[in-house]
Amino acid sequence: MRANEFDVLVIGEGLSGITAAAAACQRGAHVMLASKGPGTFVLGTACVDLEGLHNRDLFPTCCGSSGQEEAIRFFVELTAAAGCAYEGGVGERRMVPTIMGTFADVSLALRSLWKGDPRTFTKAVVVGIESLFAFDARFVAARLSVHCRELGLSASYCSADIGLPPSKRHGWLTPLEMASEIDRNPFYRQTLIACLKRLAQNADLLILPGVLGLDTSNEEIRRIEDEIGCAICELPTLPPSVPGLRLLRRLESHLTKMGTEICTGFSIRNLCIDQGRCVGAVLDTPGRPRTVHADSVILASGKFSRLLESDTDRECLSTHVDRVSQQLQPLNSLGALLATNVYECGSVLGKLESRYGNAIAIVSGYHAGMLACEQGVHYARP
Amino acid sequence: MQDRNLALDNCVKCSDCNAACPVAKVYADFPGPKALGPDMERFRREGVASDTQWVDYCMGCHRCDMACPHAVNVSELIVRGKAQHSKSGRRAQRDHWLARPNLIGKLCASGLSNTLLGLTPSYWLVSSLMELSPQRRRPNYSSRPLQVKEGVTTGERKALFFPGCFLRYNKPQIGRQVIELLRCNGFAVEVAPDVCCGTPAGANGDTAEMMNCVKKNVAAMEALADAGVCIVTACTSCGYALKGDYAHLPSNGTGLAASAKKIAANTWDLGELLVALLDAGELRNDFRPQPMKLAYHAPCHLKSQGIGRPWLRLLRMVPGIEIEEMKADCCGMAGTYGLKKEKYQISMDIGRELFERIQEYKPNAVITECGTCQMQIDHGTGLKVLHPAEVLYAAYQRGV
Repeated sequence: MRANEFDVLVIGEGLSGITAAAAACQRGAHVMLASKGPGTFVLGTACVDLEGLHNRDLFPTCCGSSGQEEAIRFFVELTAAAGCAYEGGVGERRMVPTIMGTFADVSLALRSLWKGDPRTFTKAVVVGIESLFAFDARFVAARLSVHCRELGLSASYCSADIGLPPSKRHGWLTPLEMASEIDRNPFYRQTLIACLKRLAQNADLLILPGVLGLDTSNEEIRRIEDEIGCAICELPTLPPSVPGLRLLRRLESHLTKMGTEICTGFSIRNLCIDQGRCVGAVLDTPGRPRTVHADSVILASGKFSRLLESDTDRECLSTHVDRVSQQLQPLNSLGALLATNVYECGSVLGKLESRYGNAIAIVSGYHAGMLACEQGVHYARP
Repeated sequence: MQDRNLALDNCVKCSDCNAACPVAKVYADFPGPKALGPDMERFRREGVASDTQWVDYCMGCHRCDMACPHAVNVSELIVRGKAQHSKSGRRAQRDHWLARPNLIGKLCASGLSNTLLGLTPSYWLVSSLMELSPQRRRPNYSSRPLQVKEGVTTGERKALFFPGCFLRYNKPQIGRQVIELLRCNGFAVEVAPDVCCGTPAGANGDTAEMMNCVKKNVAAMEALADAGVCIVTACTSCGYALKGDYAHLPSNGTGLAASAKKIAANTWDLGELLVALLDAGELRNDFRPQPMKLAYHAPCHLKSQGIGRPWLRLLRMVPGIEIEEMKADCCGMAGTYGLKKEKYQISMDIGRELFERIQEYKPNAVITECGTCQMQIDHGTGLKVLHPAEVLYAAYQRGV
C-alpha cells in the first residue's frame, strides 16, 4: 500500500460518487473518494423517483432494467448498513408529504419519510416547534388535509405547537441549530420527547420537521418511536436539510469503515491523460498539489463543477467530453474514447432531467463503480 | 487560479459551512461562518459599519473552507473581519500577547515563570488581569528551549526543521527527537531561527504582526527553499500556515507573495515526509515492539493539509501498537482560543465528544501532532498525550 495509489479514484462526493465508491469497495477495490465539498445533501429531499427510468433512452445499456433493479437494491442495502435506510424500490409508489403541504409521488425514500403516506394511517399530528425557523405546522396540516380530501383519502391532519427550552438569546433556530442542540443536550432531547409523547396519545403518526439530530441512526429513531408510542415522519426542511446531512454523515462513516479513503476539501485541478489512459488526478492541496494515481477513475463531479481547470502541458479531459459510451466512458466529438479507464456517472452525464437526478445518480454510480473494477483489483486495503 | 477577492461571489448560501463549523454546533448564538465570512465581507468592503465581536469567536479551523463546494475562502474572509475588529481594555492587551507566542517564550524561558505561575495567588492574578481562563493550566516553559545551533550537519539530504513556538519553548525535548528521527533517516538538519509562523497573530486579529512573521520567515528560508531543501514542520498549525497561508498572500508588488509561495511548495509535515520515505523504501524500519493501545486524534490543521493520516500508517508499522482514529470533530482548543476566559466553555463543549470517544476506547495514551490539541485532550481526559514522533523515536531498535 502506498499513500497515493488506489484501484479506483472517485471524484465527487454526491449521491452518485458515494454509490460508485461503495460499489467498487464492495468488489474489493482500494478506493479513494476525492471531492471539493459534499454533494447536494444540504438540499436533500431524501426521496427518489424511479418512474423516469423506464425511458431507456436516458441510459447506456449497462444500466438496462435488470441493471437498474440491481443498482437500486444495492443502494437500499447500502443505506440500511449505514444506519440511514431507504425504503421502497423499483415498481413501488408512495405519496410522501413535503413542508409545503403537498405530496410527492416517489418510489424510494428515507424510512421515516416513507411512513408519511396518507394511505397508511388515519390520524396525523403535524408538530410545530415554537423557536424553529421556517416551518409552519398549521399551514402544512391545512394543506395536507385539502389534498387528502381532493384525493378521496380519509386520513386526517391536525397541528400542534410545542415549546422547547430557549437555547439562543434571541432569534429563531435553524433546523441545523436545533438538530445540534438535540444531539448534545440530553435535557433538550428529553423535553422534546416528553412533548411528543403527549401529542402521540391521540394520533397514529407524528409529522415533524427534520431536526432529530445530525447523526441519528434508524435504530435511534425507532427507540424514540417506542418511547412515545407512535410512528414519526420527518420532513426535510428548507436548506440546511438535516435528514440530507445525516445521510451524508452516515454514508461517509460507513465508507470509511469499509476502507475507503475520503479526501474532501480540495478542488481537483485536472486529470492527466497519457496515451489513452488517465494516469493521475491532481488535487489542489495547500502548498504542493497532491497527485493521486489509480487504475480507474470515476468522474462524478456534478453539473456545476464539470469543467476542470486545464493543465498547460497535458491534455485536460473534461473540456473534451461530448457524450458517453455504453460503458459510461466519456467520448470526444468524433466518438472516440478519451481514456480507456475513465467512467462518468451522476449529473455530469448531462442532458438528463433533474426530476430523476437522484435515480440517475444511484444507477449510474453503481454501474460506474462495478465497471471500474472489471479489470480486477490490485491494492490491499489498510 | 481564481482571484481570491472575488471568491465570495461563488457563495450560494447553501449552509454547508455552517453545518461543518464546530463553534456553531455548540453555540447557537454564534452567527456561523456564512454570515461572518462571505455575507459580512460585502458590508466590510463597502465600508458599512459592521464590526462585531462574533468574528473573534471563529477558531480558524478551516472546516468551512473545506466544506464549501464552491471554493469560497470563508475563513480567510473572517480573518479580514478579525483584523478590522476593534478591541479595547484587557482583551486587547491579552490578544496582543497571545499573538506573539515566541515573545512569551523568550520571557518565560528563564524557568522562573513556571515557579511563579505555579503559585496560586500569582496564577489567579495573571488569569484575571489577562482575562485567561482560570480553569486551565498554563503550558510549562522549558528553561532550555530548542536552539538554532542544535542542528546536525551530517547527512546526504538536507532538511530545515521549523519547530514552531510550542516545540521550541514548551516541548523542546520533542523537537530534539524530531531532529534525531530526521538524522537517523539520512538528513542533515538545520533549525529555523526563532520566528513564529504567524498563525496566532492572524487568529488574534493582528495582521501587521502576521505579515511581520511572514517577512522574517521568507527572508530566513527562501534561499534554502530555492536550493530544494525540505522545510519540515512537526506542528500541524505551523505546517498549514507555511503551506496554505503563505501560498495565498495577496501580491503587493514587493515579490513577497512569490517568495512565500516557494516556502509553501517546499514545506513538509514530518509524517508526510516519513511516509514519502517509506513509499520510496528508504525509511529505517527496525522497530522494537511497543505493546500499546493508542487513540489518535487528527488535528484540524492536519485535515486542511490534505495529506491523509500519515502517522496512522507509520505507527501501525511498529509491532505491538494498536492505534485507532477517534470518530469525533475538533478538540476545541484551537491554539490560543481555549485559553481565553470567555471562550473556555465553548472550547470544552466542542471537545466533549472527543473526550467521550477517547474514554470509551480506554487507550494507554492519546496521540496527536498539535501542541494545543495535546493540552486540551490532557485537560479533558486526564490521559497521557504524546506527539507521534515521541512514539516512533522510542520504537527505533538501535536507538536513533
